[in-house]
Amino acid sequence: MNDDDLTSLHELASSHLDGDNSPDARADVAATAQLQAMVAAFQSVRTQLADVPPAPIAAREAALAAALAVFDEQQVAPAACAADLEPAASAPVISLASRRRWPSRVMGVAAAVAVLGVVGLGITQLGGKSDSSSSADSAAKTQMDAVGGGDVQVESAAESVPAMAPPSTIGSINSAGSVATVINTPADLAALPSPAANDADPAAGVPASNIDQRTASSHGAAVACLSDTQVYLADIFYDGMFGIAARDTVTGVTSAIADDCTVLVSAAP
Amino acid sequence: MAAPLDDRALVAAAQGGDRSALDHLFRRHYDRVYAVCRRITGNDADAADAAQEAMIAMVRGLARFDGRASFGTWAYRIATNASLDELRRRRRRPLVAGRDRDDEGPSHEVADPDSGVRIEQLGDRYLIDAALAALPEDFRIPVVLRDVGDLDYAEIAAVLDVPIGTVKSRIARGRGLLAATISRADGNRDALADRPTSAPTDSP
Repeated sequence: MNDDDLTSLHELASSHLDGDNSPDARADVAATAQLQAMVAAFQSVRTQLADVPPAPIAAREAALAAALAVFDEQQVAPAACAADLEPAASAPVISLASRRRWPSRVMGVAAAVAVLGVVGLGITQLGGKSDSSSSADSAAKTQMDAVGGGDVQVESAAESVPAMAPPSTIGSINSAGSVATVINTPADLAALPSPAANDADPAAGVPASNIDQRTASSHGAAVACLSDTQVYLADIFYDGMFGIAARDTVTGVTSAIADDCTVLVSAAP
Repeated sequence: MAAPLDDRALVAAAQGGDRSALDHLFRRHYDRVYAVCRRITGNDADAADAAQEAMIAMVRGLARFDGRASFGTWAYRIATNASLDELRRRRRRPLVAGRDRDDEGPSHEVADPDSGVRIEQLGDRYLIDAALAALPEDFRIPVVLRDVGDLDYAEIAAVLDVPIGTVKSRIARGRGLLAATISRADGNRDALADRPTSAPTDSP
């Protein structure tokens, strides 16, 4: 018997076990001792697989407590943001993955500090040349320029410091050349500027600048998760993970979204 | 006595902020989620971690769950991803000399009349764990989702994002490999059992 024959017998026996065979195929199995033996062997495998040792009670309760704590945080966060208060009255929950991600988080902070240092050096060197009387640029332009880079980036950052410090950025490991804004708290997320209204593309209902950034985003999978009412804001780095920030144009809620569509954190306006 | 709420009703209530509904929903599904994680990761500690990560991910993604798939399918998809993440993390972790937590079987300092049965069960546990560990992920995950998660072919196809025909064939192949591995190991064990454990003392 060759491998192909064996494979087709396995498929017949496996489908029989799952109740997926046609009446003819069932009759074949019933009439063939070898197939019956295979079905019995597969049934034995199934029984052994399903005989999983029970979860330790402590592990189950810990998992449920951690999940419910995250749920509580989510319920508390919008109200806290609305009142401009510090979120999370309850003890913060640190997921197992987050705990293990501390080296990458340290690396992320180090990279952000390095980027800020370079920007600061640029400001120091170009401070005399910039037109300090021009302070009309919005925080949104600061963010857009930070993505664009170049002289404009330095100038905008310098001008916006009194109003709002520019967000830190970090290059994505997975996509050389893209820049992600470092998000440390839900407040950072809420502070991300919305796309400029005068860039709107009336046909698409989405700001033209966003369309450019959607194309530029290195997280196409996450962008694809957005609902019709959400607009892309920026590539971000949050809680040790890269993803995107998006804002709901109806509710104003800003969310950090990972490539697998998981909402990492949300912030009310 | 009120009939228990189905998953759909519990999900809707949880999405509306009902904490007890979420607690009820998660308690209903935790054991199966853990079982899937246990079979994919291969040990208790990683399974507990993966199951916890999966529960947290479910909370974070609950608002986006639209009910097109059943909650169980969605939950096992997340559990599968959490388990695979756990495996990747495990591969990156340095190996520590010594026994794994899971290797600590029941203590036999005191004579236990059931010890023979327990040892046999422990042997079966290790056997299926070892056979699963030797199975490539492409075969292991569909088999686990079918035989442990009790998902049907279409649900598994949705979780893995592969055609149903591929699911069928991978499950068949996986079961075949598992059965062969277990059969070989059983043969070896039977052979060992038949062999005298020590030389007869009365032999010349």
